[in-house]
Amino acid sequence: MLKFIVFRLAASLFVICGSSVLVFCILYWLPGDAVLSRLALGTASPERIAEIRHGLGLDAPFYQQFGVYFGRMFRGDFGESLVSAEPVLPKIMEHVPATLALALTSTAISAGLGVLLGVWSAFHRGGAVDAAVRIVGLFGVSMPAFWSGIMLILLFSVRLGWLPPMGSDGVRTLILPSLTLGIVGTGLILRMVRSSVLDTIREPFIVTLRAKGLSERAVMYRHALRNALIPAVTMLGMLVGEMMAGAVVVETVFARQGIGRVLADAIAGKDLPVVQGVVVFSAGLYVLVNLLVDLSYMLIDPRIRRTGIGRGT
Amino acid sequence: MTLLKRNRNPMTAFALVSLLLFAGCSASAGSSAESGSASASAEPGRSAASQAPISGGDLTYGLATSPDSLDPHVSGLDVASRVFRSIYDSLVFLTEDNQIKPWLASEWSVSPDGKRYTFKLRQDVKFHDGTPFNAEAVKKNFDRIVDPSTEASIALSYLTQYESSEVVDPYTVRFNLKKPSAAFLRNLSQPSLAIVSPTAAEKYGKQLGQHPVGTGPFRFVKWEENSEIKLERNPDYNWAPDAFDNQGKPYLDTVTFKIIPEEATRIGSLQSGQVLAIETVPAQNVAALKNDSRFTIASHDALGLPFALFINERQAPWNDLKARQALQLGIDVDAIVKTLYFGVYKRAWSPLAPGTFGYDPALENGIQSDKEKAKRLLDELGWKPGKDGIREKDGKKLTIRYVESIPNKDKKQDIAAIVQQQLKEIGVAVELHFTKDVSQVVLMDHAYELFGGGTAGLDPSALTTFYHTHGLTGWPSLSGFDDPKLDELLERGETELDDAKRLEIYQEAQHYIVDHAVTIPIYVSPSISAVSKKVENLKYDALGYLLLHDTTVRN
Repeated sequence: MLKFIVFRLAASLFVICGSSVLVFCILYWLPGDAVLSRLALGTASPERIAEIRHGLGLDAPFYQQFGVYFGRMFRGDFGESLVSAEPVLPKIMEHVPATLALALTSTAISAGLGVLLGVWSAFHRGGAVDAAVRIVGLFGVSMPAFWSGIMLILLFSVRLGWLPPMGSDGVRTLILPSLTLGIVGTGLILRMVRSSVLDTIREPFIVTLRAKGLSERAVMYRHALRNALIPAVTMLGMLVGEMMAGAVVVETVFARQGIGRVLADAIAGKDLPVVQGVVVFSAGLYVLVNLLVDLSYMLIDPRIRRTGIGRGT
Repeated sequence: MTLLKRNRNPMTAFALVSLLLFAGCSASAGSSAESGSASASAEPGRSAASQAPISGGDLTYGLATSPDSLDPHVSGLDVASRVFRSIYDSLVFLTEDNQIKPWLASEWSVSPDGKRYTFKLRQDVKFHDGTPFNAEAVKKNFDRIVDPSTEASIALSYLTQYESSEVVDPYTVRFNLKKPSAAFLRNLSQPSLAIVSPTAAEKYGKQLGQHPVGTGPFRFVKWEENSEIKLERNPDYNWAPDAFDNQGKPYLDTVTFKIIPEEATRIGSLQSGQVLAIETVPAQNVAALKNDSRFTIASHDALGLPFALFINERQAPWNDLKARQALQLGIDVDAIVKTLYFGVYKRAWSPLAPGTFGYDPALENGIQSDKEKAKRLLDELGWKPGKDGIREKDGKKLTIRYVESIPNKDKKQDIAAIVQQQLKEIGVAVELHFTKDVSQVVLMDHAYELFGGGTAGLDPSALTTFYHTHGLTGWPSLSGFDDPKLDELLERGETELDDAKRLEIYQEAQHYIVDHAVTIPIYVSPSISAVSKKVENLKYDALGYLLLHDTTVRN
């Protein structure tokens, strides 16, 4: 158990470093840099641009920039934004709460709605209800978040005037963005839960339970659902990545504060230290949540609890 | 949480989701009906002008992008000027009809050789931090702009002829220029040359952009990144230019700029009353908002250089006038502007925008698209249509690389796509190259035959930047059109102080550029805002920036 956690944490470190190196290389080799992208065309002379680049260390060879950057990072220093000269870590931390609020609310919506609709649809498979829910699921996974976000604004803000279309102050501004992200997650979880419930109820032990004369309700809720839950929980862990990616779009559409928007601006401005900071943060969060998800299997499945993770079914 | 609880019954959840689906579709389909129903519920017309202005209230204003910095000397972004115009004042004021009026300077004189400007300053002005405004403060501001460590950009480009400033007496300051400059006085009204508190500039250094301190009608309160910028009334303000009805402190308590990048959300925020005004209304939304009796549309055409396509003459055959004329005649600018901007943007006819000093209206309706003539010109040059319809000469196909930047601002990438279609008809293949890295591709590699550009400016000397051989501060010119005659005209235009003679010079320059097909002017870019009728007397300066001295908000 402890060995497992230590192993996973070591692997996490590898994942975070790997993603960080990858992002550094991509941004280094992409054309353009932080200086050119913030200066209007022709407002600074070539000499001046060279000076500013030199001041930021952008003219150093690759291995040197790489060494300086990662040397600092391992000492916990993420450096300063190339655009605003603010230190990166406080800048990110300032925006984390807003994104976390959004991600948690939409995960709750996805999990709640997704499991409910998935189970419901599986129990009524083949009927009109099933067909309707499956369409909803398909809608959830296929509609781009920026589109559904704008539709929600048109309906609930412009037409009905119930909810504010923008901002990040208070619970009311959280509802539409988390619904937008929640629709995507609901679609994913719903489809996963539906198919895994269907798989489970075809298994022989369900037939045995029915043959024993157990009520259909008990068969479903006490036995089928519990067995079908593991894939759904795994999906929940992966949903964190989905939420982080979705935050970039949703935070922009709903004019919210958050690290998704910081990331989008930083990529547009080639602000490497800020991009790196956000990537390391979200990679770390992703790894952590998935570790928790793996540990939670033990709560759900007693077989895993007995044999340990990785060796159970 | 409550939401989850309520949805515990799967039936309701399903009903909710299907409602969303349905409502989403109907809302998008019925947007025109929507403005009709809204107009029925709107309040009756404006309150009588004779009523006393209402003091108090908060003006919420939706910006399309976030300012990079609120330091006027450093920021080169339009959106930043919209905000800091309310925090800072300038030495002189330019009225909407291009007249220069006193502001922080009460009067001024120019030496006979045009190289020394002496300004008498107001004596009753102080900065938000209590620092007195005087000649010393003005001198420190200009020293700061020209100091390389400030990293000034646009501000510096207005001071190309500036040499030094000196304090004559506590309230008199003198500027010395290297050469006479006709644009100098007018450019002093630019928000980029606004006066910042020298105390704050020293205290915050590069961070002044996050802690702006000026003499303007509003004081800076806070800036929450990606969310809002808040300003409050400067109670001591008593030095607005005569152009305003109210020279004293502003009526509004506070001004809140909300940063709302997504167009649909920005418009939705106005329609749902989250904000009272928004900037950068896309052309396709103007008609619907105009028909909605709750809002007014304010549109200001930018002065300076309109958006124009520069033909790179470094690459053959475009060094030949006939080849360039073929492009000039082959591109149907009217069709482009009408298709993409629904009559909201005006077509540009000259390398200068209408309203800019020196603009020559005689160029209007001059060049008309003529595909047959364009084809003839290319035939004459020996470029004959090949099997695929693309012209060839000596085994080489006639191909153009058209460079445009990412993201697709103002539908400029759509212009590129239409040009591609239009030029195909005359047998020219266009390769579209959309890049984030315009400076590298255009300025350093010259890897383009067509590239669109334009810039806002108050003075026709803005032409120098894009059309003079050495105009682009150390970079080769966009067109590569090395023409001593045009260079000479532009240089004379900069130093000529007699308005009548100057007008002649610039009119000649405009005709010269059009006749030599150096560029193909496309559209005059307007700044379009939509404002709730609860807001009155929102004013704009010559560049279309907000002026809030007289503004009131009704609840």
